[in-house]
Amino acid sequence: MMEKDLNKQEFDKLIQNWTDDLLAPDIDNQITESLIAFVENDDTEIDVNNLLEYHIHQLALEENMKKRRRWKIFFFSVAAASVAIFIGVSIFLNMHKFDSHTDKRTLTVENQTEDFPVAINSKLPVNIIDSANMKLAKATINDKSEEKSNSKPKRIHAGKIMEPKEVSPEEKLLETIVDINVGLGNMIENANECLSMANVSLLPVNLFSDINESDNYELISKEYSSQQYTERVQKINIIESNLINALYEIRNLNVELNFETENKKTEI
Amino acid sequence: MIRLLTCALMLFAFTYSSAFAQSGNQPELRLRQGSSFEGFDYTYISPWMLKSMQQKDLTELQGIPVEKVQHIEILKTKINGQYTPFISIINKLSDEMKLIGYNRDGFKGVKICMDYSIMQDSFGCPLTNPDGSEMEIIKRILVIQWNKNGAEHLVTYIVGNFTPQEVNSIFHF
Repeated sequence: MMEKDLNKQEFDKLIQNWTDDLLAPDIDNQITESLIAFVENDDTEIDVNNLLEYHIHQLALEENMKKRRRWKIFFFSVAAASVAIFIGVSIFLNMHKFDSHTDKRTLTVENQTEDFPVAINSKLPVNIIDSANMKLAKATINDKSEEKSNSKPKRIHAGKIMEPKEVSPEEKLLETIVDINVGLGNMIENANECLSMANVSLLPVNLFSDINESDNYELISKEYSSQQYTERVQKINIIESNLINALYEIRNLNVELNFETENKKTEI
Repeated sequence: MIRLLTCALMLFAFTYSSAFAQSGNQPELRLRQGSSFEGFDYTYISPWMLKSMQQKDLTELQGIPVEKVQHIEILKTKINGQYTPFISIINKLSDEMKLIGYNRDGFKGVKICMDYSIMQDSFGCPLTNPDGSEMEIIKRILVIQWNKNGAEHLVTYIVGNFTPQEVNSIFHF
């Protein structure tokens, strides 16, 4: 290690060289000033290498601090973006769900000048309206092609060509809707029939497979075979009878209600 | 510190988004546990099922206005249901509510519990009916019927918004 006695002039020169050559302009001058003050007050030996190392160390610290600051800004930006995305997505999903419950569509029937009455639309969920519109469109196209070719009439069932004998409730519903197009005078009657048929089909699909609540209405006949459909209708009847029986039991209880009663704990 | 804040914010975002997305969807099924009991039959009447009943013009079920019912759960014995697990969930549920009616005759008994409260405005003042009485609302009705002799039990749990008059009409008074 090289050591050297420094006087004031040599030290000033040395500092000037460091400032010009080694140190960046934005380096804190306090370090240099403190060194000057130290040397002015004390004529002790100064280890040049140590001083140099000290300044380099300070520079490294400064750089390190800048890096850490950049990382902090980066992390904060990522966090803010994540929060914004999650809130946005959740609001979007919720609004979409809300819309699916409240959206009231109308059946679009060819040559029909007016939509269905509001009372009917408000009772039919979106799925069946969309499904009916889609089927109706397919049926219209199919009818036109059949007229041209004069081929044997066939029905469309869930995108597949079925034999005419297998008439599902969904198809009956579709036929009813098409009938509306034929006779506007019978529109209300047919719509009522359509509603009554829809009531049979519009039961939650997984009502019996699981006790979980299902928000999705689907046409049962669209997904299940006639046997499964029958089984499910039977289960629906069982549930309804359970409900009616339970409520009947309640109705015939001979217990006086007292709303002023304190919350007593009783053993059964 | 900033990293801690970042983690907290992300945690909040996850919690908020999941809670917000699920809010108001799933009703709390209190008797569902009974579906796993041997010898018991559990029936859940979902809001959608009730709506479909409304579409069938069933506006009233044995005196219950359908449009005011949120969901119904029924737990009943099929053949000699197990008594101990049955009683554990029933007692837990009934303890949360107020006892409104009770009758016991030997091995048979009936216990009626309800969760009712007085409606208040945004300033915390109780709302009153035209006759000056406090406006009460009943949100939950629990009817427990048991028969230890034949181990025949029936529990009906109705969730909705009912007035005391409507509840009286349900119980045929």
